[in-house]
Amino acid sequence: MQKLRLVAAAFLAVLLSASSGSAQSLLGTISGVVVDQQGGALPGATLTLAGKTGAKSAVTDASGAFRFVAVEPGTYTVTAELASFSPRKQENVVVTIGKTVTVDFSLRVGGLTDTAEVVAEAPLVDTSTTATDNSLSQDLLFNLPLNRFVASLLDYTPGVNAGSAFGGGADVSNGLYFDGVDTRDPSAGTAWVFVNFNIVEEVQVQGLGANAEYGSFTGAVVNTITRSGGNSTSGLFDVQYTKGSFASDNTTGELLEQNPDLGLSAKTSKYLDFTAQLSGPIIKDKLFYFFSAQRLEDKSNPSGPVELYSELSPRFNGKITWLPSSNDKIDLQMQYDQFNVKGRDGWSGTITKDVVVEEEAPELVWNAQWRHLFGSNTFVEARFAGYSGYFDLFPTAETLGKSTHYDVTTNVQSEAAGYRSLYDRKRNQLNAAVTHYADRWGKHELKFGLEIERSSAHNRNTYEGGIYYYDSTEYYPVGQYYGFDSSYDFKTDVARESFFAQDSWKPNSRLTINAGVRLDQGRGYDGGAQDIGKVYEFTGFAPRIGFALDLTGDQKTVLKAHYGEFVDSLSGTYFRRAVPGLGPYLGYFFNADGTGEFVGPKGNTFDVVNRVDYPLYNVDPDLKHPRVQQYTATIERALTADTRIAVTGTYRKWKNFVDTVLPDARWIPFETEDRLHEQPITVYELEDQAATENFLIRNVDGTQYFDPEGNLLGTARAKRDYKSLMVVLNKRFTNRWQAQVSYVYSKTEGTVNNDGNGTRTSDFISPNRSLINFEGPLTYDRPHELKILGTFVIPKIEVSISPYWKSVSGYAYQIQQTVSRSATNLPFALVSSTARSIRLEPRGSRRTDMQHRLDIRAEKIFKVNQGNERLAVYADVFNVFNANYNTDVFNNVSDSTFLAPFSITTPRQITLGVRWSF
Amino acid sequence: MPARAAEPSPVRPIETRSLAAATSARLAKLDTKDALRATQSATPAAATGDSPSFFKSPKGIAVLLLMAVGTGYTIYSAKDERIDNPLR
Repeated sequence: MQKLRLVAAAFLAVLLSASSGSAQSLLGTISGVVVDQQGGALPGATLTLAGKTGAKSAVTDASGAFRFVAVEPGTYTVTAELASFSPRKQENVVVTIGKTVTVDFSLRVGGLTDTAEVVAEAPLVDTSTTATDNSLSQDLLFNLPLNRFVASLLDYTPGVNAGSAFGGGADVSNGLYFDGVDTRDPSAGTAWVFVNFNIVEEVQVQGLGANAEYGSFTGAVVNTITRSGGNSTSGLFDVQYTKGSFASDNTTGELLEQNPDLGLSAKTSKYLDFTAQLSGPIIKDKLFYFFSAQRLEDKSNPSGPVELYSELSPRFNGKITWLPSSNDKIDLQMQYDQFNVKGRDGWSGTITKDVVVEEEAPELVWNAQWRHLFGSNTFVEARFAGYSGYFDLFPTAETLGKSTHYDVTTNVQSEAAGYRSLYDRKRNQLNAAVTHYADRWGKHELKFGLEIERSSAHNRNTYEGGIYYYDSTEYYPVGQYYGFDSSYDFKTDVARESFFAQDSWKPNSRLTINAGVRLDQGRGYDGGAQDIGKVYEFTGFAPRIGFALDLTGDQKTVLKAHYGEFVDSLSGTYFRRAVPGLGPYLGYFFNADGTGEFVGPKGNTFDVVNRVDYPLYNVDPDLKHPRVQQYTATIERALTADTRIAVTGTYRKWKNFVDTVLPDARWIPFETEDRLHEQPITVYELEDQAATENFLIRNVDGTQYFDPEGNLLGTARAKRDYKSLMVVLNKRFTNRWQAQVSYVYSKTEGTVNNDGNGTRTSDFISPNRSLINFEGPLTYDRPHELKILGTFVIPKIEVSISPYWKSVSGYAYQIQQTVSRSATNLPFALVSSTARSIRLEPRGSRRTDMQHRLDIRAEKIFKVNQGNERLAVYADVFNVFNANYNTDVFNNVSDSTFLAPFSITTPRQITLGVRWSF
Repeated sequence: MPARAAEPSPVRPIETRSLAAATSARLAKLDTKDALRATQSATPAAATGDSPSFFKSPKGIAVLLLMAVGTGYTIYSAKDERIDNPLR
């Protein structure tokens, strides 16, 4: 027993001294003290917390202190009562995610109820957490002209652009939490579950200083909390609409001269999004319902030959909230939605208008949550959530069975998209955590948790007619082709168990220490027909520690510092080439005698001239999963009663990047012409294609490349560093206006790009990418970023104007040149053409245009009757100045439109809306 | 009484020694009935709830109609406007 105690004490000591983050959760806390007018503590006072689902009470302890834990975000009334004293009521107590609201009462003897009218909310400067709080306030969030795709809400946060958060991989490196559970695609790591913006109660964005309960990301986390029913019947009816004539054209003759394919501006020809939502009591104080139906229709005429791209999303949400006892809460939630698309581009590049596919993507999402309070100091939460769905891409009725024809002379694909793809997904996750407040050696908020995930992805693809045609009208008469077929059918399963322990320890009133540790264990399996079992495995240990010091002792100035490690999520893309199901690759060539084994659509016959059976990749058993080490330091200062400034310095360093290499390869240096500088450049040829029988997935930092004699040609470095200085000025809504102004100066540099591949890369298979001009600013390096968001209510007419201004540096890129396959001896079917794409200048030498953009919402709210009933009409104007900055350019010297804009931003568009809520 | 009590433990007696002296003195002089009346008047109102007849009122009927139209159209959209993959 003595030994057990020692072990437990040692564990606690390690926990308290060695680990992570801030004490944030999906819930909030209300605490305070009750004293008499002279400041003497009042033990035994009864505190009553009244909210939308009823009321609950607490009693002050010997020091007059009380605490309500596990409080849902929302607005509450707190009343303090004690016999012989005049009761006191505090209305408008606003609770937000992860925050503690302090409500202190001073009771006077005798008299009637005192009511405080002021709003009580989390302090302007939060001295109780090391997390850097630069996320948007809910007041701002629900007033702005937003892209309503919840994952895109990240982009309104300082330091986040185009889904790349604090230097992280665009989109794939962010955790997307839906009522506390990550909902990303287990195959690609991108967003899978789409949420109706109108069911969102609160959105929290965090990443800098996040505590140990948050894991599986190296960018940021979006926490979306959805609405629930209460004792009042509430409704919301919202319609948003726009059409083609509400859009402008931002292409110019100069742009079209550079790239005629830009055509007309991409504009929304019809957007109709309505929500009908109702919630209320089934049994007062016990059982509540929430229901929402949404239909979203979005039709556009994109740039290029395709004239109609349409999305249609019917979506239903239902939630039952049950309070079986005063200490229990159960939520049962479902979402069913479809995502139907017509006119989706089959392939990037130049196409004719019939090279499109249709998409069907239904899914069912579930989330069951249970919470139990053990008094006022301990509560336990458990969630079981997941989804099941698929997205299919398939030919239109007109092109069913038709193959694609790609003319290598004109670079145009025509006749059909020519493929069908089926992507099935399942994700199940069980989360459980216990939170305990302890008052020994200061105050502690301890949290211990467990996450269990089981996910699967099944990916299938085939070509229509079993072939993708290559025409070459320059060299062959029309009607003669060569082509290929390469289908796949593989299934990747992911299993993960994560454990975390964290504490928010306040040894005194001015210092908070956040410590925690997280352990992730992930495994990747082949779930296909051959089922070769486990192919990928990692264990990630992520310590986190930080402090927040109230410098002035008045909650107006805080110094925060935090160190944390964040292990990336495991998705199927890390190991899918290690499971069977790809190929074979079949190369066809025209048979002039008409005796070929394969008959094409025009009666021509073909011989199979090339067959490649893809080898299974090996995975290094010592592989470590990618992670980022993060250092942040912040100083926050309240400038006035409602304005604060925060200055944050951040350094992030990624480790353990993963890529595929050819361990047996030997490389022959040779010179070719650099067509940009018109001078020789040394590149590398694979000595023997036999080396492509052995692919290895491994950590690639330190990869060495050798010549045929065994001499070292070079050692590649896999790295990415992010440094930033962030200044955020925030003003709460008072005196008719609110605002957040942020400026971020940052550098994201290294040798592994921060694009949609996240912490995977494809540069290390050949020294042509990893040893030549390999280091510099990465694509999503955006050194200068200014964001201004705000709301101003115009007096007399009571119309609110909410602008969103963004100025951000363009994307970094460099000029490249593709060296021929024959020169590099890299087999087409086995090694991507990227490995032959040589950077002719240092990575990130150039940038696309600086982007300046203004969006504005104007909204008029009419109060109807008494209470909360509102009728609002609003208009959003996106891209007010009709800017036309390029968002990508042709950067290959071989492109006929070399350096021309590949795409430009969408033009000005006006959207109208009306909303009735009560 | 509150509708639900998270802390069912009985109210503990006031430890008057923690009170300021001036407060103790005022308590001693206070009329017990006044104190009781003050306490009762502070009983929090139950969380706002609508009357059961809400859905029979004009506003309630309008809400039901809008919900029916919105939900009905969404169901129609999910069933009849769905793009079905003929290959699945």
